[in-house]
Amino acid sequence: MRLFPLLFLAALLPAQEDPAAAAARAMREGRFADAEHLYRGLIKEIPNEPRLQLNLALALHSGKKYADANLAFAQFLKTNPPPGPVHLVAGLSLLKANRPCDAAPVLEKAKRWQASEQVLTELADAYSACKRYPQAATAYSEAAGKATANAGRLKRAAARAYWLARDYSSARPLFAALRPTFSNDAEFLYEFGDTLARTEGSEAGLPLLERSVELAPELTPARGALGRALVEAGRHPEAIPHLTAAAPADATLLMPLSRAYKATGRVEDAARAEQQYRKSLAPQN
Amino acid sequence: MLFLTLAGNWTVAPLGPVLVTGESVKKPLPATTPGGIAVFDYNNDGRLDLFFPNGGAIPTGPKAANTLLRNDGNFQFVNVTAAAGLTGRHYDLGAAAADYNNDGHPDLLTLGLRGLTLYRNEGNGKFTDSTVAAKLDNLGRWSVAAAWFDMENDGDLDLFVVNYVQWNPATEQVCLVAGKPDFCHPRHYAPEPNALFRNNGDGTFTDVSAPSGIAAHKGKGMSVAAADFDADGLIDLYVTNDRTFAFYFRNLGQGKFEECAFARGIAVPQDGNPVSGMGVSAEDYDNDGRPDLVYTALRDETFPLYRNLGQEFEEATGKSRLAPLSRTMAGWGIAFADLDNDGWKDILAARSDALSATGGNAAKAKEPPAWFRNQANGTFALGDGWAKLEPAMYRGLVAADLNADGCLDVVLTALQAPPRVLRSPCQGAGRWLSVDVRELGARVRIGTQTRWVSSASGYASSYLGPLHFGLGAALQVEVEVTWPDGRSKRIATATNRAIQLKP
Repeated sequence: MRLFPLLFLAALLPAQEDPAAAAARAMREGRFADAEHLYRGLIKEIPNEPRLQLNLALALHSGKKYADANLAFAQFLKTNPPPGPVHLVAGLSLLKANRPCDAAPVLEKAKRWQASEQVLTELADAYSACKRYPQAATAYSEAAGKATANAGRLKRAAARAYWLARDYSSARPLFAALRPTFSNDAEFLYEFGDTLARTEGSEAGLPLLERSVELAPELTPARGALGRALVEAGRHPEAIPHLTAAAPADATLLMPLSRAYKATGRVEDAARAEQQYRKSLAPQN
Repeated sequence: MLFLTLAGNWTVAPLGPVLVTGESVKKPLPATTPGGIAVFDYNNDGRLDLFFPNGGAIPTGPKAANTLLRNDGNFQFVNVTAAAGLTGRHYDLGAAAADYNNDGHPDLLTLGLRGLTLYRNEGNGKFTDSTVAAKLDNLGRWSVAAAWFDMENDGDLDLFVVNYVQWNPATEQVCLVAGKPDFCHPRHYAPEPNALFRNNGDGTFTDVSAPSGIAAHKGKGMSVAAADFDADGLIDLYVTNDRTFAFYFRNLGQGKFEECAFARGIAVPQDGNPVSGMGVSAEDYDNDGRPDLVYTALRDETFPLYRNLGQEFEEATGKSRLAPLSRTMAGWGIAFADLDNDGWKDILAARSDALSATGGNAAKAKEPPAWFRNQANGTFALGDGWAKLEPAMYRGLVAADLNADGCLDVVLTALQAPPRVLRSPCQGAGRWLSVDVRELGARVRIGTQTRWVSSASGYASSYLGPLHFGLGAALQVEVEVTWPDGRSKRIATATNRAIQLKP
């Protein structure tokens, strides 16, 4: 799907001499390594031609040499900073190179060029991977507003990003609207249940968390959230197996586990869990 | 004084000079921590005066003057700082008022980035810096809050000082939040022990931090509540720490303390997530005769609330509804206070983020203050009227009846802004009684309500004045006072008045 704009961009750049024509042909025919070689040769001959730098970047990106493509795009954008389609491709290339935090500002420029569904989605993905969840949530919501086919998926991503941003009051109505679509999705039920437990109290979240764990017992974060909610609701014996299962991945759960043990008369287990908790969570400095 | 009307008929007016934080593009951590308040009657004229410690440039440069506002009644305040000698020398954050030398004139301690300053009240409108003479040395530690209390019931007030973290401007990092420079997380700074100074009864103090057991526990202290939590006749201390476990220093007597927050269930909220403990208040919100605890924390951490069951505590943040109500809030100053005089203490909170108002979280940094109405059934609901108050970087909060009309007003500070006073509408409120017993640690009971005299208040703040009781429709009540030395007195009195009781 993303090759089309690349080829389109490449086609916009007319070859002015044979090696250039050959390079463009290589691009059209999917021979990206050949194209790269030809463009590198051309750049040696005409080092200050930004279009050649762009074509090289596109060849590298299409050939999945993302780290090299990132450098070539950066070189081109240094001399061509106005927002444009190249920012989208350069942002994608950075995302592919697993550099989402660097991709975000480049894609922000792409958004200034065109706030399309694709640009907004890529930008949201960059924010999300960079753990800038509030911005991700906003971008996914904007993308959903422009989407036709993907609106549901994007709203789901927005709800999740709000949840990850701990903006539960924004997440809650989105989750509620999506519930009919995702009623058997364990991760969705975990995130929505956790949101309800935090915003309305444990009793509100418990049915969803219980259903989530029923659907996917291996989803340990859901078991942790369920255990916490059960402790909050005073259902200590039921909480213990869930907290025991989830605590190895989340030491903060040792505290509610300790409380659950204590409430059920297991004093030694309670003391042991508390000691483990204190050891795990004590400040390092 | 010009008051602007808010919804719910609360009115607001600015007070005094701007609170200077010294914030710069380098975002030095101290710049997010100022904003204490002291409310006390420094000239014994029966009206509560206001003191605001102030910051200044960081790391060096001019200090912004502290402010003492004399209350001349009817919300008329006069700046008497210079005449009182309270302008200050250091970057000050907090304040604690008490009569440490038992001369009948309340003295003042300021806390700050570079240490303590003890101002002795000369009784003639002037204060004298007696820090050195009193041998009060906090070793240059960054202190935020303090509690004056009589740890051995020997008749003079000792001093507990809350220290925050080790901070060195030379090694201060620049941290990024959402790509913008902002204050660094407390994990970047080493913890400090708190300090305890015994009053020698001759105007001097002895540092007993080590022999008392206090110094053995390093934290990142933000505030302290002093009360006899376990009803053994000795004042205990609860200290909130920033992003780490809270401390509960149980007073064992003989100048010894035992830290047992985990054993009492108040080291960390029951979900196990350590929170950014900020201001704290200890009062009996459920009218069962025992002091409970509430403290502020940052967004998504909720404001933890603990019911005192006698020997341990039960977390009530969820069942009281305070968890969902405070989930989206970040708080600093806090107080239990009966705003509507119905006999049930409400919760008041000064709100704002710990991050900068010009940093990566700028859009959400400023918040309006909030109050939570005690519904007399163990739950709270969001109170009316304050949501329309201008969002700001609120820090300090003290509730006090500034015009003696029987309703509590609220004093607030905010970073880079003048302090402000919220005047209570006092309409439709219940009856009240103001009880002045003039001795820290004294306990006052009226019906099912119990209060303890303590000067430590909320975040970096202090209240030294009469205890306010909301009494609903009661026309006549019986008041029982027990002083720290065991003497007690019981009287019957009509309501809607101020009374003073001495042993």
